[in-house]
Amino acid sequence: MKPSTTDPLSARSNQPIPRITGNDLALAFGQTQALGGVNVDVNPGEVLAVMGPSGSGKSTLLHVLAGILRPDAGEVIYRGRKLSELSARRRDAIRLREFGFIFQFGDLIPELSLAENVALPLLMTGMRRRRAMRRARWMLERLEIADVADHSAAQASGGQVQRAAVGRALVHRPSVVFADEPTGALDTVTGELVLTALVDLAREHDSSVVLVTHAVDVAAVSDREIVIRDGKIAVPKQFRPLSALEQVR
Amino acid sequence: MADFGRRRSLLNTVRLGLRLARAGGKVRMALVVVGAMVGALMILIAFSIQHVVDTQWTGNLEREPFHEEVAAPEPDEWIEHDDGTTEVVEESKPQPLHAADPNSTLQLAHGTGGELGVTDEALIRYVLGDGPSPPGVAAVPDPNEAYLSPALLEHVEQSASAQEKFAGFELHEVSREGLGYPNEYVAYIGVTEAQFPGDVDVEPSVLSWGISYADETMLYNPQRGTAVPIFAFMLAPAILLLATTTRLASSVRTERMAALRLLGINRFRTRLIAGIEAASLALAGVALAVAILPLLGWLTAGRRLFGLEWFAGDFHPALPAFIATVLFVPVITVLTAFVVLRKISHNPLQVRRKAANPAPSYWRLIPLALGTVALVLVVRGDLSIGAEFDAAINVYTFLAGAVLVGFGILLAIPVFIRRVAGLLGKNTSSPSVLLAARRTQYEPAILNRLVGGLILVLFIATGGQAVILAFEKTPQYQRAVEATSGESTYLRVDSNAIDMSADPLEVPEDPALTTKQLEAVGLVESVVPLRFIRGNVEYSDTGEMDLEILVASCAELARLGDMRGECSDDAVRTFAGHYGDLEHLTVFADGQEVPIPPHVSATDFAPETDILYYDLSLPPSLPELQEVGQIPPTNWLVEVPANQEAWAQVQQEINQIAPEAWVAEPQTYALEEVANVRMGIWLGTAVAGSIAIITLLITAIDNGIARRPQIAMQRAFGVSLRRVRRSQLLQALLPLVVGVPLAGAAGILAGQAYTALDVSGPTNTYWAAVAVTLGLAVGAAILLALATLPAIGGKIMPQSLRRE
Repeated sequence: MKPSTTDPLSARSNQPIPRITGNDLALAFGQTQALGGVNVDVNPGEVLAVMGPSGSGKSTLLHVLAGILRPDAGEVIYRGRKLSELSARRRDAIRLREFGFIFQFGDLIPELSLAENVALPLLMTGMRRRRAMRRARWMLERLEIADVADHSAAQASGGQVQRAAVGRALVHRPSVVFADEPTGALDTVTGELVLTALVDLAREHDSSVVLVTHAVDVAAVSDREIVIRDGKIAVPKQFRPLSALEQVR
Repeated sequence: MADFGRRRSLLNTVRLGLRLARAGGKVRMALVVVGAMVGALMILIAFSIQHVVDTQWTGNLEREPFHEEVAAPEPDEWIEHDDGTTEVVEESKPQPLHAADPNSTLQLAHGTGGELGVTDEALIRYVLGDGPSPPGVAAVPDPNEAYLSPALLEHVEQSASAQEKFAGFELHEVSREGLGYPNEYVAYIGVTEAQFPGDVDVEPSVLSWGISYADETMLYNPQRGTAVPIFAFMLAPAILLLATTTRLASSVRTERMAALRLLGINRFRTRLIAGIEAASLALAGVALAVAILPLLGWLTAGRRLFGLEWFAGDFHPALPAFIATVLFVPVITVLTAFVVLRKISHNPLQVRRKAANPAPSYWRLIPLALGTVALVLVVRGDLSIGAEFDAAINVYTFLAGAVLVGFGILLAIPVFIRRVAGLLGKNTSSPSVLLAARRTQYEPAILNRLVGGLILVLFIATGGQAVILAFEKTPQYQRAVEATSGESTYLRVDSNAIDMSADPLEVPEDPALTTKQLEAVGLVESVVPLRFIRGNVEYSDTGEMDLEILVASCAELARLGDMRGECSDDAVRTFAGHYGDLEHLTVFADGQEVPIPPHVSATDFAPETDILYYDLSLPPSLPELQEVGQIPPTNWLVEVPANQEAWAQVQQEINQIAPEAWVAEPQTYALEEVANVRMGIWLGTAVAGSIAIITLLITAIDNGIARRPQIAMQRAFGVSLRRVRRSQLLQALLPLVVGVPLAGAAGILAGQAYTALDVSGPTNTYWAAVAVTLGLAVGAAILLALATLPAIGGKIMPQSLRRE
């Protein structure tokens, strides 16, 4: 059984030191209130599913937690540091070295091969090419797409691209992976494959995962889930067993 | 009802086209409009230059005098046929444009600009009597009255000698109607019968001004040809520019159109939508060009460009050309849009999936390789199929080689770029280089073709520079430079004492000038007297002839210039092989005929001035010459400061002492020749280079725009803006890094081959050309790099991920 939250109006966990904490996060785009006072914790090694209907503010919350968007009010604390107080350069460095990202369409760089795409975060942090490529190929083997490692993103299928995106997000052993609808563009079977790979590797690396989705099946693999509606946390759901994922296995 | 539905559907299609034209993004729209504007403007400029040439030709015909005598029968042209028969072809006679005045007593004689101290082209007319007024002149000037163009009036104000010429004259201005271009030198000078330079009894009266011909071939403007290369030169890049910008717009459009095709919209409708979208942007560009052209005319009026000057009002295309341009630009834009749509018709799904660009074939390297081989053969001088064909075979091999290399560069550049980028991408550890290399590797073919265009320009510039440098090394150029910008130079003064038409035994008059007189002339630094005597020679090849023979010792000759070969003071000196063997020589001096034994000591004497020329020289110590006594100098080399104003002043003073004396200035045509070559090469480089750069810039900006989502994603991942920019810069530079050495090497090879055609042999002075190429390349690279920045600029922040 997953632990339950104590405060029904927040997404606070009962774990003592969250990896990322969002306090009273509020953000408006013009007249639209995307976030209206959201409290959320992301604990070490947990998979947090953020659910809700389209336009509810899920992706906005993900972007705010990742330091991509700056909230109008409230603060994001990552490992005890307030992101808003850090310089843009420092925030860039944190995202590059300590976070990983997966988007709905993979968003690989089309001109690079899958292996090069996966190796990119390592190269960006200064690793030598040979070592970076070796690690990227290992990652692609883990993701069972080593046979297309030298194919460009344009030549690979949607599932392969998305698995490579998982590899890119995790290859540098990030502290937190932000995944925005990672299976939204995939069929059920491929989606489950991608999700399995993401969750397995994240757990292996002790990475937390913030998984934005509106698919209940996808959320089923999470340790905890929160539901956003109109920019606010709706009553958070209880933790449930990893039934869906276990079924896939 | 069905028709109504179809019409409304069509109208909706048109509306969709217009809507999509606006939806392409402001920057992209602006690029296409600017591309169309520049392209249209270039075509309009070419047509305007054509119009200027035509207008000035018509204006010249308007200023031509019509006189009855000219209309009288002239000798007709005879055409001789192969069968020996002849045919008389009656020539078309000039017809008056305006009513002739039968009572006119106006007579006309032509002068030269030199008479007024003007070196440029000038229309100087002396008029006598009364009759119809020439265009731009209020009334036929009376004696001591003159009408001068504004430029000539200004010259008169500044030139003392011209003021002297018009002392006591009442001066008026020739109005706009009498001028071909703003700074033209035109003068109608009223003179008395005594002052009239022509033959008053023979010169026909001018009955009216302005002529025409019934036969239109007689109206052919020989200058029209000068506008054609300019036209072709600008038209080709303009079309390239238009096609490029249109293709760019199409890159966005293609995906949309593919989506529409997948939705089931037929080929006609997608074409209609694309056509409307392309044409509306092109028309906006044309409208801007039409608005800018008068401004351009105003800015360039009175300036000498392309060898022409024009009035602002003349700088516009003729109406048919104008209409053709306004139609042509949208039409070519739409046609290019259709060409791009072909892919959609074949496989819309593939377009939507953005299939990878195929690698260019290695066959593309063949023209470059063949061209290189051809140029190397010319440089090495290995081509020989028989003496009489060698020159031709070398010239044609050079031309073929240069053309093959030019086209070859365009074809080969994408191959080289892809190969080098591939190698770089495979081996680099730098993520910036990796991104730049891989993007470059998979760049659309069009971008690499444009880079090829720029490299082609650099090739032409390098080759041209090598040629210019070779020209600058020629002795005639060096002498011309020395004569005009050195410390001093020589003028040759000829007192014209030897009259070749007179009886050779007649004792010539004393020369009109003496060495002392010349030494006293202001600005003259030193005087070298030259003694010439009249001679009669007979050569084995050319037979008998009269000529002037220089009498000078080897020591004197050595003073005048570089001596090559042996110089002997014991025998006749001639140039080997010029006329064959010297068989007989007689000189005439002091009323005597003195035979000289034709013992020749051949020398190669290269005078360092271009003004001293002779075919034969005799040492004064020859025993036969001792009989004729002292030979007075009839020619002198006068050392003067090396500037043309000084030459004019010295010439004027000498002519005051001896009006019949003839003063020859050093030849400076080499300066003009090299300046023309340089001007042509630079102009070509500038026009073609500007277009290549503009096209590349537009493409680079567009490329940057297309990459914005990707860059926003990278920024969200935490990639710094500096790294993103570095990657963009490297991507802009990489093709140039690949292409510039190729352009430099090919240009130098072509320059060497060109100069190898000349007897001077292939040039080896190409380092400056390399510097020029590198300079141009660096300039282009900086421009390109800067062009990529606005598109990605500092505005792409991590949060841009949502917008992009």
